[in-house]
Amino acid sequence: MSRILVINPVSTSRWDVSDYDYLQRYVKSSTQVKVVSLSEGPTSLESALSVAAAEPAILATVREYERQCDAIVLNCFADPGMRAAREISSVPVLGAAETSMLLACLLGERFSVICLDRQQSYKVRRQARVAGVSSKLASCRWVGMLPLELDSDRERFQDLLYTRATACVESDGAELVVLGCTGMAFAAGRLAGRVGFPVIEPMVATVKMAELIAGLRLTTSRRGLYSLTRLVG
Amino acid sequence: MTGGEGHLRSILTVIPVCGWTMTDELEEYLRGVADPDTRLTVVGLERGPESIECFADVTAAAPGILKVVREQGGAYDGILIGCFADPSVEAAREIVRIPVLGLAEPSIVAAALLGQMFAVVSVGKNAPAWGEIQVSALGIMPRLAASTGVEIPVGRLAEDPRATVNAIVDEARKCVEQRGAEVVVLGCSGMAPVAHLVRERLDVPVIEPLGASLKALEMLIDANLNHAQAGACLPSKAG
Repeated sequence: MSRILVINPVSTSRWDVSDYDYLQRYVKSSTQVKVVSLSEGPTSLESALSVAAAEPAILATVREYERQCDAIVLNCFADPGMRAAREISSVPVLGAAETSMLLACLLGERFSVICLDRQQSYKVRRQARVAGVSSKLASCRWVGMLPLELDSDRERFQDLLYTRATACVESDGAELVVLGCTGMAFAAGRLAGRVGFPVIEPMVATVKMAELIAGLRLTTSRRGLYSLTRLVG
Repeated sequence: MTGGEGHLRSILTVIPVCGWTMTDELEEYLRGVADPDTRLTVVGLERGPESIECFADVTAAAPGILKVVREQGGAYDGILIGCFADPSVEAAREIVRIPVLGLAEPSIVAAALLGQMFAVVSVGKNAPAWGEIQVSALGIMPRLAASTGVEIPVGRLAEDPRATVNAIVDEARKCVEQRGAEVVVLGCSGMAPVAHLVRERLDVPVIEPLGASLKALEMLIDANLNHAQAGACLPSKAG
């Protein structure tokens, strides 16, 4: 049995229940998922400033729950506080971007990431470099909407997402696409049904990878980048 | 992606060798690792090399692997080719529409989630360069700290388990102490029976590729994910 803690790194619980229900469709029957959000901090993470503002509360949440779970998922494509969380947690911590892009390497020779806005596309390119997967990144395209706009105009988003995804494959040489925001989950099933190539939805991808890592009883290495730990107790 | 709830997965594992003394032991090991909801079939080759240790062995194993994939693959949700050389993995993906995994790619991806830099400890003098080829093909070369091998042939890994463990631990320690590796990937399915002993003696995460890759295949099936069919791996007309 694996217990996966999913942290929605925003100070609103509005997605906690729907994310939980969505994830139930994918996890093993022996896996327990718990979805929590932050008690304070920004309501969405679209800037470096908002990520910085969210990190203290993310780490507080990691400290609060890490003894009660076998793996932690940071449910945001910015991977906010991922490295710090690894330093303070005895269980593995997976970020949505790093995990999804590594998974994409398994499924094709070249992948694209579809972000929400132009600014995010630059951050994703940097994340790909740090993850070591740049040579497999065919392109970063963006929909041109803000995180909180997704819920209010879902139809428009679906259409834009389809147009971008198709362009990634037709024009940029990608074989598959990674959705660059965990808030796009609602659109993943329909997109995958409309296009003839794999679509990686980062929330499910990261939770399933966390399940895999926890199932193998593996955790973060303490012999290098994460050797200075701030483990409690 | 669509939901796969309540689904009993069926997985075909091909141990892509013929007459290897370890095949039964690896089958038992795989059964211990598989999820209770996985229906697992393990087969060897009717014809093929006794072990896969060089490129000529990979070539020699291909007809046997692809025969199994063609004749039996259609009845399963996923195929695992149980060798770290990932033999015939790409060709198999051209024949069937289900996920096909070897051992190297999933293990290396799992390692990259547990530290920034990892090492591959495989078998033979050709292991250092071969490991580099595999990691560069996967596309995450910047994260490879070291690639190395023990000097015990695959066919003799089971002969003296203590010597095997010692050799793996020695190589792995060098990778950690001198090359900065934070995670160690074992680069041969024949190391599976001793992986727990290696783990006891190292203070870094150790990825055992057979178990990790079986779990990764279960994951892909559950998440309803498959390889891209539009680019590198075209569907074969010869099917």
